[in-house]
Amino acid sequence: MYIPSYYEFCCKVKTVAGHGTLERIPGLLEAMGARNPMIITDKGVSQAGLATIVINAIEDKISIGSVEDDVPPDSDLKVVNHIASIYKKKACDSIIAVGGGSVLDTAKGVNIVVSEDADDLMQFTGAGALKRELKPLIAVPTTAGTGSEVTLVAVIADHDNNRKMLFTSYFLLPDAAIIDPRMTLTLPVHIAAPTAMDAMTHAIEAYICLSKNPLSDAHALEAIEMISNNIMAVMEAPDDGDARLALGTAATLAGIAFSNSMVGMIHTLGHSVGSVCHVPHGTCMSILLPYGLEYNMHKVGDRIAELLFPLAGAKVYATTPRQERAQKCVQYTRDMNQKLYEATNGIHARNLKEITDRDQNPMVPQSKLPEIARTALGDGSIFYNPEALEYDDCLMVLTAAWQGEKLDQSKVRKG
Amino acid sequence: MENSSFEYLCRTKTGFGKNALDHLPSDLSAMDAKKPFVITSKAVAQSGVTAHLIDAFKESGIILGIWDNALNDNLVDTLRDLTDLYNNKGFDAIIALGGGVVADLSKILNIIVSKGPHALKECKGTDNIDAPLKPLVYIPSGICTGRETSRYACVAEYAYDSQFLMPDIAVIDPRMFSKAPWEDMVNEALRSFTNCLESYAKEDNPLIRSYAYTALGVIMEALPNIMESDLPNNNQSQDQEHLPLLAKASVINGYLISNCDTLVCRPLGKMISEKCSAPEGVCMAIILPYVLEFLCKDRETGRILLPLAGIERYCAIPDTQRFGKVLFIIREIINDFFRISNGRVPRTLEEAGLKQEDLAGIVESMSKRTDIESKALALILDNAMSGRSMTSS
Ligand SMILES: [Fe+2]
Repeated sequence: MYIPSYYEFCCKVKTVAGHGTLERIPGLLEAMGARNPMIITDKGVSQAGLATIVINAIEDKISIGSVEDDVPPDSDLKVVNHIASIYKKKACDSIIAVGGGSVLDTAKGVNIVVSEDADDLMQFTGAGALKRELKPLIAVPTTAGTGSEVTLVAVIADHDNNRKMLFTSYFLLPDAAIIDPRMTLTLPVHIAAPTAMDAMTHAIEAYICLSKNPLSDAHALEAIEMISNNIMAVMEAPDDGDARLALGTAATLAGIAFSNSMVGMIHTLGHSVGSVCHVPHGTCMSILLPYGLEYNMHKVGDRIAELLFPLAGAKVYATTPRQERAQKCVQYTRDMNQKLYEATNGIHARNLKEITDRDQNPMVPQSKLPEIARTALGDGSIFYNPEALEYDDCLMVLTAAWQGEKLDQSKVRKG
Repeated sequence: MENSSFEYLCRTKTGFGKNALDHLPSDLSAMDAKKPFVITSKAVAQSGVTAHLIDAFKESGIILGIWDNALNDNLVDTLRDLTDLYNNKGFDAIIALGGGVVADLSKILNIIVSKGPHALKECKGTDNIDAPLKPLVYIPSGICTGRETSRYACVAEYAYDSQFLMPDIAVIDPRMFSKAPWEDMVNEALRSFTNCLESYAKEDNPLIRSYAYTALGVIMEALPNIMESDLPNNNQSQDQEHLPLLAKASVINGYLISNCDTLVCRPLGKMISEKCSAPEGVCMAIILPYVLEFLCKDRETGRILLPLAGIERYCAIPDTQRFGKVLFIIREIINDFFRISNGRVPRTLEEAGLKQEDLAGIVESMSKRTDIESKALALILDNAMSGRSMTSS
């Protein structure tokens, strides 16, 4: 086992996962002395009826101070400050965030403003600006992917000044994450597939990249196995509550793993495809996952070989010759994408050229690959990747992923 | 899925390894602590390790106050003195450096200085603290039990159980460890081993499994070193490498016992230990195979071999043989300790000096704490007395 000479591990979030766990929220709030929570969510979530499910589950036991569903898809500074002013007006004392990354970022931002009794989030930019515990915050994720319920960052866009602000502090971690399969039961399979693959990628990158440690490894192994064992069950029976719960739990575990160890080039390139071509994050992750493994094979082949166990199980692991395990692991992730492609009637793209928007137009023209490669060089996750990447390397990987051809490992520059 | 829901909480940020202490000043600043109160014992202070702590804070602008008089008696009076010191000197955080008593004093002091003197009585019991207390750091310096990083604290008749008693930070820095008696290390290793393996086997909770898997990996790595160090003769560890490893497992053990309140070996081992000459951890390990056989009799359990054997060996052993291999590994560990110590570490409860006539009393007290039937408890103890295997009886 690889053990770094020094490492730290922290996840202060209480994880509450299972059927019927939404009903635990009033008790959890009460234990923290809170009686009047504000629910923060977005229009999509409330239109899908998910906010109502949460409200119905808790309103007998606790009064709800306010329900705000004005969060835009991209969190926004003005919205944060506005919701914070309502929080104060209605004398709320805690927050329940129901939604995905943007809702959670917004809730974290609101929590800073109301806990510090300020008017403007801008007063708290920069590292170390937060020194105290914030108000109770409970996260109810509605996608089983991002893991933002257990990450200590919040990204808030300042649209007036065209910039994004990053807030990082252990105090931003929610007090509890509630994983209740009712929140993901209606997520369509063509969205459930890439979000689960995003979580899978978090766990796999946590396991193979440079900042790994034994505790993040253990969380990653559990997450990979749970996703591998349950993703097809959800494709075949979307109302399988146990399988949905397993994917939701695994996403949180993967979130804990990568927030304690960092991700690598799959995210580096994925973020860039996302920002240049506006492709959903999970779709980029699914496609790039096998390439990230192939590119790093000569450096961390042993780690990749070990992943065959959580992905394919003990039998396959034991019957595959040692020197073939790593390649088999890569093949396994390709096969998964193929199965997801079939299960979603071709919506789950297997390569970059296959990605289309709603009107069936290709979203990633080959001509954009150089721009994507250039963008990738500025992404922080590149430093945690086992093998270094320069512009040519990024372009080579992107080209293979665009075509959907295996990476020619003999062409990878070995540094 | 077997259980419909699970919960897990570890409030502590843990730093492991080389120069880990050097990260502490910035971690404390991030919590706005400017003047931490270090609580430790004379023995720890005399070993000289506090110098490393002072060194780590040298250029930080944070001023440490060190109190090194933690003893095992008059703890309630001590708490009163500590409260006065903390308040009069304007401290704003607590660093517990050492073992059990130091941690208990620090946690309860933290309740009082955070919530006022009345809290000593009002916060007693389970879940009677509703908000975070002052920043609390735990630094092990030798043998620990796991309770230091747990949600539990107890001094005399004052007992507390709250998530807010888990330290904010635990730091395991190899520089901070001095020598420890060999048999105490064996006891510590077996205690963590037993709690971790039982919680891994018992709880259908992937977070518990992740922590237990990690700690068991650490213990399996440390065990051969402890055995090879052949120390019963001079009773002092020559090689200190395994003490920080054991502390790492113990710190995780503390997180696990805070999240599994239905462990069997832990309370049962304690009751047995009170009636015989062997320490808790050893008693727990002796009963572990029997408790596992009982707990796992109707379940698919080969999986618990994974943290003991690692991926490679686990996959190579056929499914049907895995659970048997687990029992074999546990017995092998116990037998090895017996052999190396020339019989001072017992293999059975009989060898531990437990008397047949004490069994009924233990079964009765234990049956009040668990839903396992008295008959089954009696069978576990009966077999553990002689070292018979469960299946043969
Ligand atoms: Fe991601």
